[in-house]
Amino acid sequence: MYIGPEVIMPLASALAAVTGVLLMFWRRLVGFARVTAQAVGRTFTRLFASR
Amino acid sequence: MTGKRGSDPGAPEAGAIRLIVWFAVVTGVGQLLVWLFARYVAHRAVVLDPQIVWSAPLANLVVFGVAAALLVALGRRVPALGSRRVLVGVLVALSCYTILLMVPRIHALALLALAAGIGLQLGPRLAARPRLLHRLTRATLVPILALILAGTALVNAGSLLRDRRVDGPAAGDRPNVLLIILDTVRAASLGLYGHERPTSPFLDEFASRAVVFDRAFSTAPWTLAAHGSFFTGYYPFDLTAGWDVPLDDRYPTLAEELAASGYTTGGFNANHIFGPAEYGLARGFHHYEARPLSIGRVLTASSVLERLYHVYNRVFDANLALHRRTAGEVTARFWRWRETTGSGPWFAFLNFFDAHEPYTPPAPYDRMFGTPRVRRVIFERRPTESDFRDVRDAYDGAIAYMDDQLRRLITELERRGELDRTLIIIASDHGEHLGEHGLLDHGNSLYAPLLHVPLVMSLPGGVAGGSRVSRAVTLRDLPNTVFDIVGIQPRTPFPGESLTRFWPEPDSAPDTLLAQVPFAPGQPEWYPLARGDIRSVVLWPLQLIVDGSGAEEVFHLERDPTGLYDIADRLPARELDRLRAALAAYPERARLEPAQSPAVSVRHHTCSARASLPCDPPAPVRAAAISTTVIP
Repeated sequence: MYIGPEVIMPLASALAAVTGVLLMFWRRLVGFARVTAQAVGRTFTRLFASR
Repeated sequence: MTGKRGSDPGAPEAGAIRLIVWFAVVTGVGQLLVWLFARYVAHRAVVLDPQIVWSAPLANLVVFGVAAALLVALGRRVPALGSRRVLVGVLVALSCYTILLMVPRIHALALLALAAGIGLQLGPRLAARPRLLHRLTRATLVPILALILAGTALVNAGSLLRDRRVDGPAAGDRPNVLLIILDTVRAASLGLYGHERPTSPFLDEFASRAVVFDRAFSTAPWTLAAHGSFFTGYYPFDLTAGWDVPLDDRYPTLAEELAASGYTTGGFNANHIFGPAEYGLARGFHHYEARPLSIGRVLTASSVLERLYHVYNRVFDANLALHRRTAGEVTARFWRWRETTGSGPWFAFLNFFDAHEPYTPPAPYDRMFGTPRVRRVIFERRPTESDFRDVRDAYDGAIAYMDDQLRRLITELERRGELDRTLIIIASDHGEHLGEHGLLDHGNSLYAPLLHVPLVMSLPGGVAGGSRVSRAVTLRDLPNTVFDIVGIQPRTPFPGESLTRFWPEPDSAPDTLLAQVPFAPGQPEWYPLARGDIRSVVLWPLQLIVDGSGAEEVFHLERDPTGLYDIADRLPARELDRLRAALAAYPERARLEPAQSPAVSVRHHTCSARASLPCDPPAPVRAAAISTTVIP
């Protein structure tokens, strides 16, 4: 399988863009992940507690 | 960033100004390091000239200063934007973006997102440590500025000293050599080759004292490979010259050998794309100019401004050309140089670039054949018949302008009494598509409009003037021919044969004419080059072209000079086999990367595969013997 610049460069562009967006919204993303994780945790806790 | 109590609340502090200058110069140094890495470690021909030592920090200062001024202005309305955190964040982001933009082929918006992310993360952290920033900028700014000054002096030392030294023994009364390349001019667009429009009245007349080659073919449809070929006498597949790989110093160039023989050599190249010394074409010239120093050139040393320049041209469909030098300017520079060369023989190489897109000759030539509107976008989409008409009109006007400049140049040469002492060669590196096969531009196929080029040779004393050579010839024979005509030594150091064999003996054996163009990523899908490397052989009058998919096309160039009608299916098998056999001698090289073209394999191909090339080892390269003064 040939992997040349025409394959690598779009991937590199996508990776750069994703990394940039992650860096830009890092705090919000971490905050969102934390809130989501806490919500999921609470849900599981309630579920297991009800059993 | 905002001022202290009692001062203008939006005015920047002295510390903020130092911070801006520091980021600008550090980014400039970063650009230089990336350039050095690309050039000397990755062996890429990055089109950044040595002047970025000082022009990049200066251009960055303009960009960073404007950004800071905008923040100051915005800070008066939205105080949060006037904070030091925001300033440092913006400077970090701009600095990263400037350097990241030097990475080729990655989308600019992706890099912008990455730079903005880094700025948002690093900016507040750095701004939170003002003492560190203060100490860092204070301690390093002056040493960095001193380094930049020293670097500037170093890269310009050659220009300041103006080397007039001649390397070889005095060449006595040998004729001068003037090689004029009309970049991108196809033979079919000149009057002396049958064009119906009066694009070349001077050349048509000049032909009466010159030898005109009716069927001269280039070895490549793009500048660097074609120039490399007629500078060294080798076919492009024997050279390293690739889309982003410079011509290396494996083989001696015409300029090197003439300089070694006592000639004073000067190169004046208007091709700002592949002409700069970084691409290897300056080798052998005592004096070489390829890119004029201008405000545009300094500002575009900033990758951000360079990108904005391209975006401006694309969005506003403009033809803003910051780096171009007209044929008139090239000629003026040549005459200035001539004032310094003394009375000995000289070799001058002039490249006129006006017929290259976007075809913008000065008035009145811009409207000589209509009022064309050549839009950049037509090189990015399938062009229409109306696009073809516009391009033809503008292109013909550009050729008419160059013809007029030729007239002025040759007339002045005659006035100075040098015409009869000068071998003048007027040719082109490659042609241009003007609608054939639905194509514009060049470098994208090997069809005849790109390979059939003008070749007019005026010998000292007007010898053989008025001759026309109808045999098909290749431009790679030019250096051999020059050595033969000026009579420097009995055996020339160049491969190929002298074109003088075609007169006065018209029955000399015709040559096998090869050409190649290597695949380049990012080609529009309708370009033949999008299918991979293309190879071509001409055994007059037949041309066989094989593209990257292996598809074969055959054209009868005598009946079909522009190569429009493929006759591969109707050709007798014996003829097709003969063409295939000629092409089979072609070196099998998928890409022209340096690692894939070692000298050993070149020697092997040279000696075993093609009888037309000499089996002797190449002449020793004399690059080190010649000190080139590259004028910025």
